Amino acid sequence: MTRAARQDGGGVMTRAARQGGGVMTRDDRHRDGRAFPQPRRPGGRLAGVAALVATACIVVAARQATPPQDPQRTFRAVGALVTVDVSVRDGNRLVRGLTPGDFHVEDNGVAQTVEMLDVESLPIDLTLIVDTSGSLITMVDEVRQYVAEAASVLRADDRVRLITFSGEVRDVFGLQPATAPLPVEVIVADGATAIYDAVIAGLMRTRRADRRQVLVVFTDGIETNSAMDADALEAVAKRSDSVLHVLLVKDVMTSRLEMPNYYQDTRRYWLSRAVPDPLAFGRAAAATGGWMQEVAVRPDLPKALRLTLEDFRTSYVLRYRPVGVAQEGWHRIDVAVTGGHTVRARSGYFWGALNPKR
Amino acid sequence: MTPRRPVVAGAMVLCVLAAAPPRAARSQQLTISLSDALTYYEAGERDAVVRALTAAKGSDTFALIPFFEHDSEAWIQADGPAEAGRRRLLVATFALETAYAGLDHQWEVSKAVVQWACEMWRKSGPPTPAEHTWTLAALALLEANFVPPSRATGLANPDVRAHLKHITERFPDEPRVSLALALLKEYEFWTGHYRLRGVSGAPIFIHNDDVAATVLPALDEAARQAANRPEAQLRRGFLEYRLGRSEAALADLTAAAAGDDDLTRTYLAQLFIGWVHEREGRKAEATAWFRRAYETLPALSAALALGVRLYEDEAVAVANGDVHGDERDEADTLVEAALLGAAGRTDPWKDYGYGDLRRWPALIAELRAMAGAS
Repeated sequence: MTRAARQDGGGVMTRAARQGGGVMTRDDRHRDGRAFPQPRRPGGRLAGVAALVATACIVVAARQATPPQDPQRTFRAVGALVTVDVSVRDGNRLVRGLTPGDFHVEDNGVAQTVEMLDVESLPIDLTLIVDTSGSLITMVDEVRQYVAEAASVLRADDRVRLITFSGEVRDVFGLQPATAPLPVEVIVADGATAIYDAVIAGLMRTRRADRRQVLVVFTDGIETNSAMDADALEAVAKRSDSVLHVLLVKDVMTSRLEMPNYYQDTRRYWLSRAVPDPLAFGRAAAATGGWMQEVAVRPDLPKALRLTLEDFRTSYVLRYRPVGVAQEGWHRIDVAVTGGHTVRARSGYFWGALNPKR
Repeated sequence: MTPRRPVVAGAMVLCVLAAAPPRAARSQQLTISLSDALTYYEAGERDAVVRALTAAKGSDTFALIPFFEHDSEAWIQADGPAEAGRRRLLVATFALETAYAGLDHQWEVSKAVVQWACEMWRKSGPPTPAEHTWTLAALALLEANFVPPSRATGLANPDVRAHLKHITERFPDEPRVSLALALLKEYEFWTGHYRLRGVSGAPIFIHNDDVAATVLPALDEAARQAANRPEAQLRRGFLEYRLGRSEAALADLTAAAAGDDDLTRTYLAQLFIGWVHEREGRKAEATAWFRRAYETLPALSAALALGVRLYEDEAVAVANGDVHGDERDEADTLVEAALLGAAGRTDPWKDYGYGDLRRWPALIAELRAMAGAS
């Protein structure tokens, strides 16, 4: 099994891997921007055996006792510390109870010694980025309900923020305790769709190093009038400390039968900065260790949202101080785990993004 | 004082949210005639009336047309000939505000209201300066909703074309007509060919660069008139940018960025110049121009463009041992400020595709003042 097959590149699995091919090349991963939140275990029996053999061959670097936890000072990259959220699944099942010794982490191909942070001690900041463009006009009540439900699965010390976007991006409410009443009634739907702008704004707004940061985007994926483009989205995602998940709802209102006057009564945006790249969201999510999930029908969205948050909540947080690598440029991160489970983690980091302030 | 007239039979019931804040006023529902609505409007309760008309959506909104047809002329003449001109302008301005309020939800009604008011002007006698300003505001509003060619006629934007014909008939020397004609060409350029593509099978326009050959001459024609020149240069510069001709784009955009007569144009020109430099790999120049745009107007497009540059700059700076480490903090601050300031202000980039709609705030403010409805 290749190194790439051990890690799904932050939520991206190719068809070959899903169908049991078990081998995924780096190029494949970059071409395919989609993630599959409930992936089948890669490979059949042969691949499974191969995975076990490969895992057995992994020489785990010296284990290191986890130092005392001080989230205020140690969570995100401090000096040259790299922190990685890692989701481990066995099919649909989240794999729990792993220790640092179960992980093998390489930084630009060089094995690193990792420690594991206690995720239970780290509160979560959830940023919901919700598409309220005109194409979702029939879903407003459902969207309000989803936002409230998302907040309800958070803990008392977690916080939630809501950003909505149509043609304009709106910071509906800033971070507030998840238990506070959320003014979801202010959510309305109309206008164009500036997804790139909204997601980049959300990524730039998640800055607290002492809390785990996750962004969940809910959209139909129809980009129309962002000032930013796919390259900017990926550039920021690669430098972000947050994990980005994108839930792409497919059966939104685009039917003339459902809204017969919609097309004649609504403004159209016709001039974009660049031709949209629908796969960019998957690539950006993958870069952060998140996924892009296509939700086939609207009723499946609450479940997808719950699974996304559960996945993030139970992810492992690994940390290491890079050794044996150049102190510059892009660093590819590869993560594998004992047992051949499916691993999802950010694809890498820029050395310069390891801000000593954080 | 205008005499109150009975509610016209069949006229719509409007829910007027009086001058109180919207949330508190929801329970204060009144039934109102056009005369009452115009009186509120004249008294400065403009937003309340417009909100009321917006709230009419979902009912038989086409009742707005007889609402104007049946009551307006009596209201215009009610205070005698000396006031009739001002009152006609006030009715026409009120109609425009109503149409604007329905821009995103009931465009067909909005369009019909504009057309009704335009016809009222044409029947009212010789053109006046007030009508001139009004007709440019109406053009700005109509340009907010370009429409693709109809299957029946094959013609795109028939309403804008019809309005341009009316402007030409009433105001033959109006320079904005040539700019609007260029904009129609531009629309054809961007939307000339498209195919279904992308997620959910949604239509995503694939632009037809070949049509540019027809747009640039139209913009050049518009630029012959001094009043149009900066805007024509802006649009030409963006077109050149999209076509990959960076140096030509920079020449036009630099010219468009000059002057302080229209901050939205200056902002857009500076933003576009930054995009050109960014594409050419001139990162420092891009950062500087994005910062200039943000300083011109602290809107989100410039904040994000500058923020992306700061994200990349921080990585470079830290990697070089120049540890300031606060570029990303600055990006966060810029974006936060832009989002907080977004209420009540439109990012000019979001209106760029809508032609003269960027001029709407200035034009409608001028009309309000002329009509005594400020």
